[in-house]
Amino acid sequence: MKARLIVIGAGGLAFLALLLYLSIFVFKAPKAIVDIKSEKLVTIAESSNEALTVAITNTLFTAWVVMALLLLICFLAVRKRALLPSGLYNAFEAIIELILNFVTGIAGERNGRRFFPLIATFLLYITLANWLSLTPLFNTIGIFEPLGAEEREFHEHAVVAKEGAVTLILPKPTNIEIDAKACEGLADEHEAEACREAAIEAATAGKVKSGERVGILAPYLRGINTDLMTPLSFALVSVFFVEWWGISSLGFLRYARKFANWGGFIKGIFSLNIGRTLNGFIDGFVSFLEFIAEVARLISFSFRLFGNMLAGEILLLVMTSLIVLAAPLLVGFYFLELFVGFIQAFVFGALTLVFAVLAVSAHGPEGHAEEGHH
Amino acid sequence: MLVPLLEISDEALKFVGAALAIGIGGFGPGLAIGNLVGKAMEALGRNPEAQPVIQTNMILGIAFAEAIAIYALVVAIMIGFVF
Repeated sequence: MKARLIVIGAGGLAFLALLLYLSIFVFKAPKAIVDIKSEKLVTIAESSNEALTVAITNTLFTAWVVMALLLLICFLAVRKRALLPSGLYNAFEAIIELILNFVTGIAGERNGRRFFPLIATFLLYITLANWLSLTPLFNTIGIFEPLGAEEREFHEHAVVAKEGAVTLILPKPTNIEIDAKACEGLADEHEAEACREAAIEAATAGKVKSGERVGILAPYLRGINTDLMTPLSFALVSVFFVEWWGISSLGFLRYARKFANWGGFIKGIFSLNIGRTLNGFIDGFVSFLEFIAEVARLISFSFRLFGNMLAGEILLLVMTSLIVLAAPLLVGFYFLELFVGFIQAFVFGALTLVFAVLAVSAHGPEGHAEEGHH
Repeated sequence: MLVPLLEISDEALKFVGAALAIGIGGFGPGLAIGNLVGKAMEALGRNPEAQPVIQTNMILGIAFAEAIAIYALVVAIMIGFVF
């Protein structure tokens, strides 16, 4: 029995190794290209400073598409109302009820209904966006940006594609890597341009047939959370609402005392009592730490979502290029990504909820006494 | 005078840096997640009726621990692909 298991395991490993060898060395799978920045589709206001350039990027466009889709689903669901719900309406009601029960279970009936719209939006929107980004439409169809010697048309990586109005990268593009470092630090614009032209010439020699172009693909649709700006804006909304709920239910001064609790320290100094002063100082320092935690939340919120979704896309990309012959194995990774997409949306909503509950609850004995009057 | 035994290019060092970032950065969260799930299973065995509460809190805790691994991953990706 044990010997058979060992044989099966060794055979499986040898088979995987063979697949890897064939994919990489014999069939020469395309290398995965990872672009962290989102590509620009339409440039509205151009500027020499990259930060001041206003453009519609593909992640922004995709965000609009997801919003439109979500609104459409909602509209279709609530169009026909009946006493006995059925079909899409029924399914939507079940989902909403599930989320409402989850929110009120953690935050209580009154606060739960207050927090519910934001939490439900996060859950539905992020889940739908993450799941949609697994469909084949994403990252494959887009505008083809030609490769040129001008600085903003110059890229380190490029692919060869057939000439046409709509470019599809399927199934096996030819990758071109250009030595971009050679032309850095050339002060003269003409000299640099000539250098870049030579670099492109050297990299593409013999790889382009007639009717083909060299450039990069700016896909129309790209997973919205693979661009740091989208998770960051989610995090800003989340933190803003948490602070807003905290202030509106505790009042500004009482809420601010959570983050600058120096009252005891000052009282201790005036009463010339060393013990009270030290205690007050510790309280103040703890409240200062709480303020830092509040700011760090922005970073952890945005990077958690961004890192997970980017890593998921890279995982799928790398696996595709590693095991071309074992494509059915990739279905497993797709299911993993479906799971991760939902879990990340759930974690985002649940963490916002937990922080909101913490923000509306007061510290200290006096706070608890007052809470009873509500 | 120190004589370099091997010519190591900056490019090679970059990949070593990325591998070290995710390798060391994944170590702690791995321990943390294992510990978390183990304790949650223990709690489930003792008190099976509390399953929804334990599960929700476990997933939240895993998210916190995993976030650290994700920071390391983002740093590794940045070193590998951006700089």
